[in-house]
Amino acid sequence: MSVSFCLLVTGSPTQSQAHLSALEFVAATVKRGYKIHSVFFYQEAVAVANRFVLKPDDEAQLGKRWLTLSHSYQFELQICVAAGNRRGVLSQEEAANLDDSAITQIASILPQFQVVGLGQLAATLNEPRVRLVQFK
Amino acid sequence: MSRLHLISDSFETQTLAQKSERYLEKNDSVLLIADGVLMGLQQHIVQSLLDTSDNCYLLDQDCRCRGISLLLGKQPNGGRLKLISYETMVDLCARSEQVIAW
Amino acid sequence: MKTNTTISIVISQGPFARICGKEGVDLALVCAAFEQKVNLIFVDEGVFHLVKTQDANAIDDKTHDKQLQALAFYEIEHLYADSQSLRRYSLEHGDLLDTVELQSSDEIHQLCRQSKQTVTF
Repeated sequence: MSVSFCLLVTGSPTQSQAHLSALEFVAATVKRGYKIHSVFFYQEAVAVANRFVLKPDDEAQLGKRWLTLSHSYQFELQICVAAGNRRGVLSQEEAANLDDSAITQIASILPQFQVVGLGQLAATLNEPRVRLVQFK
Repeated sequence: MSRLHLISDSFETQTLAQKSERYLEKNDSVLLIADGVLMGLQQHIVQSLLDTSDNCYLLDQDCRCRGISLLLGKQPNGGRLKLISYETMVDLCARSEQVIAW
Repeated sequence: MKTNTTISIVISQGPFARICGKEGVDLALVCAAFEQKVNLIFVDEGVFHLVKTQDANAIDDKTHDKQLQALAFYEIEHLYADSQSLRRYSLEHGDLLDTVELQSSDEIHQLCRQSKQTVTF
């Protein structure tokens, strides 16, 4: 199987089904014997990586599900740094730029998500054997 | 190779017509997912899709979670929208020249 | 030197109420910096990003029309607007930034078809 998939998730975790759909797609991809190249979160989708989320136990824990799948199937979860910064999903390095000294030591992003530039997505789009699938 | 179109929202007739004209060709495939499956319950919209594309699909799991599988079965042209699984969706994506979500 | 990869970025959401369009343009700029050929296409309410008479000061926000005007400098040679969308909102070509090219639905269709990837915002 020479094609691998990059998932571009742009839909909000609370205002769209993008994440639920993408998670199911990943599981199906593995069953069909394809590889996941990476998952890139942009626009409202970056909110899924916010560690300060408290959902009732019986609701889908999207962030944790992404972490589990990425660990099991060895692909990167990439959060666009600019989109994350706009929405308060910050690595420690980015949080250090905040004016509020009470929170400059605190990363608001779940640790296993990688903060990357949009260039990472552009580079992936250049790869000939990677099929992009966008979840809105 | 043809293209696969993923539609995850339910559109009004005119909006669908505008977007179809922009993106769709006859030998492309269309897959309705998420709220897009609700268009499967609207006769005139289904007909419009079938007129524009030879291969129209509904994601089975999204129909089931919304409780509309039986209703779809009762639609006069509902049978022409094929119900597929996520695994078939993956295969369609892999075989397509491009996957466009709109 | 440009690669052989063509990316089409289609922006259908208008300015101010949503950041979709701005983030779509950001992606276009980065792809161009990676030497991809970029088709930046504005459709539906997205055409309002291109209107010359925007005044973001009216709501204490920022327009990015200057950035859009300078896209050729960033190696994005083509800024397209859907002519059908313009008609829907009674807009004319002259209402838009000078660098915008009008395209019919069919022409936009061909642009997307000839791309390696199409990303919609």
